[in-house]
Amino acid sequence: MIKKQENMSFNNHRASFFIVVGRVFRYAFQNILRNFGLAIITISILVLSLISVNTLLAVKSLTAAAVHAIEKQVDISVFFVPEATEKQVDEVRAYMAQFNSVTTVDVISREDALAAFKARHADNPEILKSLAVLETNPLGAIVVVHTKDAKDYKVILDSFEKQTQFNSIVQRRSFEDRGKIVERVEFLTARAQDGALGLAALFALIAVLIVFNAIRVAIYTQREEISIKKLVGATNGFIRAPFFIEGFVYVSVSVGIVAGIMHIATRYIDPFLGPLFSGGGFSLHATFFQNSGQLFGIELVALLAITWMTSVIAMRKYLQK
Amino acid sequence: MIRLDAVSKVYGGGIPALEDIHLHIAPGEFVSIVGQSGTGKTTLVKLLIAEERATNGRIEIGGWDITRIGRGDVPLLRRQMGIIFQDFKLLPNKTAFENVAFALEVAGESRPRIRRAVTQLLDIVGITEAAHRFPFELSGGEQQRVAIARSLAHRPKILVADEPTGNLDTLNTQEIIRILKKINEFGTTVLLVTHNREVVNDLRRRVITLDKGRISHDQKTGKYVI
Repeated sequence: MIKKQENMSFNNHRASFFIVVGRVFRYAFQNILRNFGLAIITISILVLSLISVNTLLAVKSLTAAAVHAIEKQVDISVFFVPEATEKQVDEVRAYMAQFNSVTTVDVISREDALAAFKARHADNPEILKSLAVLETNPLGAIVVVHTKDAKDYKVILDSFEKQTQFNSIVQRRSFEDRGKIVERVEFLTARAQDGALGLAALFALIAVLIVFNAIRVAIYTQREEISIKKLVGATNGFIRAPFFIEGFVYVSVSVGIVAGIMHIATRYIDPFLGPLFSGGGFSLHATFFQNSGQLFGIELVALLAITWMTSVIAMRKYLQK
Repeated sequence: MIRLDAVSKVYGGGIPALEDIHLHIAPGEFVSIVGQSGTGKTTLVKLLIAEERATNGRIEIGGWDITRIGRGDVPLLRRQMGIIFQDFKLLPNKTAFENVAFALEVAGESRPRIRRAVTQLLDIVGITEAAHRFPFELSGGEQQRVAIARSLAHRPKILVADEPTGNLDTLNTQEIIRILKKINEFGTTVLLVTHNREVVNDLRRRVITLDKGRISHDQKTGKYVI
């Protein structure tokens, strides 16, 4: 049984909480400043790991946006004969609109179709001259259908084909040659999403391993100090606490730097993305910074958890003596 | 002050580093523990500071049985013993002043008391002018003096010095031994582990000789006999 004798000069009075906290913070910041090289290396590794993860997130957003843009460009267009009446066109529009998966059904009138045709061939005087020779508008109305998902087109196409009552008024269906495109888009969508997700997971794993190793090395270089502190009577908590604070500082600074880099990089890249997404509306900067608090907050918490967990594991060996 | 009853320590390989050690050191004694390399001197120190656990036997320090000391009590034990090592074991990123202060800071001493105590301690070991230098800026002798000042921070009843002069020249060795004698004169029990023949012979104090993990000689005013 342990017996603490009175005649030993025990100086184990309980220290004030604020004194201990103050000292722990002082040690942490002193250590950062006096091991500045190590601090820079550790922060650099954390920054590079975060950049790789964020780059993958950017690629994933771009992939999703690209697929969405392609999906938006795929539509079903039903071209009517010029003789088709407005009522008949409206019947087809109503038929298409009944599907739950349909998001929009637009009707382009004969006049609008002609105007669009003229605008499209404004730089081709021969076509315009031929059009002028005709006394009547040779174009029929068009019904353009968009769905929520690329895979929905096939269902609508199959169903519409069975409606023989529309055969006399339909001149051409654009979807006749789009079936394969739709299937390909569907295939690419699934593959691109899976690929980006897999790659992001792989990069996240690599980043975790790099961070794990960086923290282990940082603690390994200070193993002698840890054992000396133990020898002069420091408790494990008193030794660990400054490392946790250092970890918090490293992680906060790293996330801050990465947020800054992503802000500059996405601002620079966004103008180049404009022409790729003709519909507009996509901004990499907005993707990152609309919910920046949430995204970088998650990164901070995750990195902090990894750093602290690694610190505990790496220090355990040196704290046992 | 220090009592070891039938203490033995066997490491993983099965070969005993210490075997059946019976030892009693009274308060205020100056004891030299000598022996060739590998005879268990450092193991004995490690047992006393609870860095290692005895395989068998009982160790008592100041009436406190530390044989099965709890992990949480180890820091308390170490705050009451002064410990000096051959390689000084100073914190490289702290100045001499901060190294000594650290020993008091871990115990939660107030800042004014730390400042007063550290200044006094550095003065006792004669290194006041080097207070704000880092260990790499100090000579071996100066570093050892800082280590001694640190070991005295809690006014310990026991001072364990493991080969404190091993890395020092003759002049610094004499100076360190002089300081240890002075500390002993103030009533601190000093346990000096060494294989420096001249130091032991000059001291003319109690000498315990270890040989193959056992006590082979225990002389009250002995000499280095190996």
